[in-house]
Amino acid sequence: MKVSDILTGILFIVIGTYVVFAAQSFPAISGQPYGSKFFPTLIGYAMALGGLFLAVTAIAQKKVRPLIIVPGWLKSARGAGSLVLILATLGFYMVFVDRLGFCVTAFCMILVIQKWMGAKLLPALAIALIATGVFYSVFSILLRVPLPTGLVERLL
Amino acid sequence: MESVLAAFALIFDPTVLLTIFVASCLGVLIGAIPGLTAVMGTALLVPITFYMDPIPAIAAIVSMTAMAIFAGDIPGALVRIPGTPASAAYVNEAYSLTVAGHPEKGLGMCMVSACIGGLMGTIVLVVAAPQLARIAIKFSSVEYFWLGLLGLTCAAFVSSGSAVRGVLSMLIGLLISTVGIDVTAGTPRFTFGVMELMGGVNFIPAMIGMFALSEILRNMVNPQKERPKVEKIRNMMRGLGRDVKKFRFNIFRGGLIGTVVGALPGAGADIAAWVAYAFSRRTSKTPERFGKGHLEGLAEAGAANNGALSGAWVPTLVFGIPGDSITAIVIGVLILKGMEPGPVIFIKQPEMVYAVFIAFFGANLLLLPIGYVVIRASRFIVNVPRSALMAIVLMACVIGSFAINNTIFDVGVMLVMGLIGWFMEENDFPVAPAILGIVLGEMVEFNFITTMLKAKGDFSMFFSRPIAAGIGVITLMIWFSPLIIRLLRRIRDYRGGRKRLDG
Repeated sequence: MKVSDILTGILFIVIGTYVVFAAQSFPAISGQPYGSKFFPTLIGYAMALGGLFLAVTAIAQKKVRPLIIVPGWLKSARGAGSLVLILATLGFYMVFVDRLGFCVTAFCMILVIQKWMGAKLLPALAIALIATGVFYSVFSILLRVPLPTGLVERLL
Repeated sequence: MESVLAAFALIFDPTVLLTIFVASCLGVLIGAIPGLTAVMGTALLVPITFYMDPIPAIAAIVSMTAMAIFAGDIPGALVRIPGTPASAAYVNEAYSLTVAGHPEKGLGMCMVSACIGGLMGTIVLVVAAPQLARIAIKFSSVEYFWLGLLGLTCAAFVSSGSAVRGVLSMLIGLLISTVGIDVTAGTPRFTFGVMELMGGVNFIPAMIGMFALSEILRNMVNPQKERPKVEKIRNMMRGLGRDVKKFRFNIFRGGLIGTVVGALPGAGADIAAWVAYAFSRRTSKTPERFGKGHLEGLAEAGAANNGALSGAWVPTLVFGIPGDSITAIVIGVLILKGMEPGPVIFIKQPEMVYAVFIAFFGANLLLLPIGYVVIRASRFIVNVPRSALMAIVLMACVIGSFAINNTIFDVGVMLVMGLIGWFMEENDFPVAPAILGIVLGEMVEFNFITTMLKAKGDFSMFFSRPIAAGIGVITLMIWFSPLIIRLLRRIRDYRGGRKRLDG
C-alpha cells in the first residue's frame, strides 16, 4: 500500500512527538545529566524532524500526487482478501491454538491458505497433512518444543 | 595451532558434517524458490539452531546462506525472477543467455564465480578479522560508541537512495530497541504495562516478521505473472573452463568488491552485486554488450554477492557490529550460544572462530558439487506450487516465533513486525537500517551513557583517544556529506556561471 510522503511524514511527527512526551516521565539518575530519557528524547526529536522534512519535500514538489495510492491489488478482491486472510489465519492461530492444539490449528491454516490460492482439494489436503506431521515431529518430538496440546496430541 | 586443530575436530564431527550438508540442501531450496530469501531462511533457521550446539548451529547458517545466495541465480536465469534480491543485478544477463538457448552457460558461470567469490571473502575474513581483533581489544566504551554509531550511519546512508528514508528507518529500529527495561538505569520504557515487553521486543520473532512474514504478504497480495516454462538443461561443464579463464580478472575483482561492500554495516550481498555489476560495466571494453547475455558483468556480480556474505562476518565477529541483515540475526544466535561477538572471543574461544572459518571454506567448496546437481535438477525446484509454499512458510513463521520462548505473545510480535516491514518496503523505506537499529541501539546507548558517567558529562571525552577521534570524525563526515556535496555543487555552479558571464 503506497502512502504519500505527506501522510508518512505526519505519522513520523506524531510518533516522534509522543515519544518525546512519554520520555519526560522516565526518572533521571541523580547527579547525572544523561539517563533513561536521553536516548528516547533524542530519537523522538529526530523522528519528528525527519517526518517534517519528508512531508515538506513532498508538499514542495510541483507534481501533485494523491495522498494514498490505491494499488491494483486492493481494487482486486483477491489481493485485499489475501491480506485479510493472512491476518485472520494468524489471529485464528493465536486465539484457538491453546484450545484445539497445534496439529488441528496448523492443519486448518495450511489447508485454508492453499485453497484460497487456488490449489485442488486433494493435493492440498495431502500437503496440509504431511506438513503438519513434519512440523509436529521436528519441533515437538525432535526439538522438544512444548507445542500446545489438544485432542490429537493427546492421542499421539 | 592447537586451536586450529581443535577447530578441525569440531567441524569434522559426523553430526556437524551432516548438519552442513542438510543446511546446504535447505539453502539451495530457499535460494532457488522465488519468494524465499537467504535472510528469511536464516530467520527461520534460528529456532532450529536454538536447540543445537554452537558449532553446528553457526555452520548451518553459514552453509545455508552461501548456498542460497548462489541458488538465487537459478530462477533468475531460467524464469527471469531472482530467487533472492542478491541476484537481481544480473537477472537480465542470465535470462538473455537462456533465451538464446544457453542457460547452462550462465548458470555454470554463476556457480564458479559464486564459489571463487565466496572463497576470496573467506580469505579476507581469515586474514583481517584476527588483526582487527588485536586492535579492538584495546577499545573502551568511547570507541564502541563511535563504532556502533558508524555502523548505524553506514546502514542509513548506504542502503537506499534517499538518506532521509534510511535515517527514519534506522530511528524506527532504535525506538524498538528502547522498549523494555533500560540498560543503564533499569527503568521500564514503552512497555505499556505489558509483562512480556519488559525484556524488550524479542529479537528472533521480530526478524522472522520483518523478513519472512513481510515477504509472504508481498507475495500473496501482489498478483503474480505467469512464469515461462523451463526447458531441460544441458551439461554446463562444456566451455566453462575457457569462460572462467577469460573473465578471471572480473571474478577476482568482483570477489574483492563484494567483500568490502559486505563488511560495510547495512550493505549486504544485494548491494554488493549491484555495485560490482555497475563497476564491471563502467570499466568494460564492451559495455554495449551488457544486459544482452554477456558473461563479464555476470561473473563479477556473481562473485561479489558471495564475497559479501563472508565479508559481512568481519565486523560481526570483531566488533559485534553486523555487516548485513544475515549477520544481524547471527549476532543474536552467537549471544544465545554464549559466543559474545567482539575481540575477546578471539582470545577466549579461538577454536570457535577457526571453526567458523573452516565452515566458510567448506560451504563455498561444497557449492561446486551441490551446485552441479542442483542446476541439472533446477527445473523441478523452480516450479514448486506457490500455494503450498506460502502456506508452509507462514506456518514456519508461526512455529519459529513460538519456539524461542514458547509464548503466543511472540507470534503477535512477529505479526506486528511483519506488517511494519511490509509497509516500509511498500513505501521505499529500506529495512536493513531498522534491523541494525534494533541490534545496535542498546550498544550505542549503553556505551554513550557509560562514557558520560566516566567523563562527568564532558563531551570532549568522545574525541580524547586517537582511534575514537578518527572513527568519530568519519562518522560525522558521513552525516554531513549530503550538505557538503550540495555546498560544493553550489560553488561549482556559481563559478561556472561566472565563467560563462566572463566569457
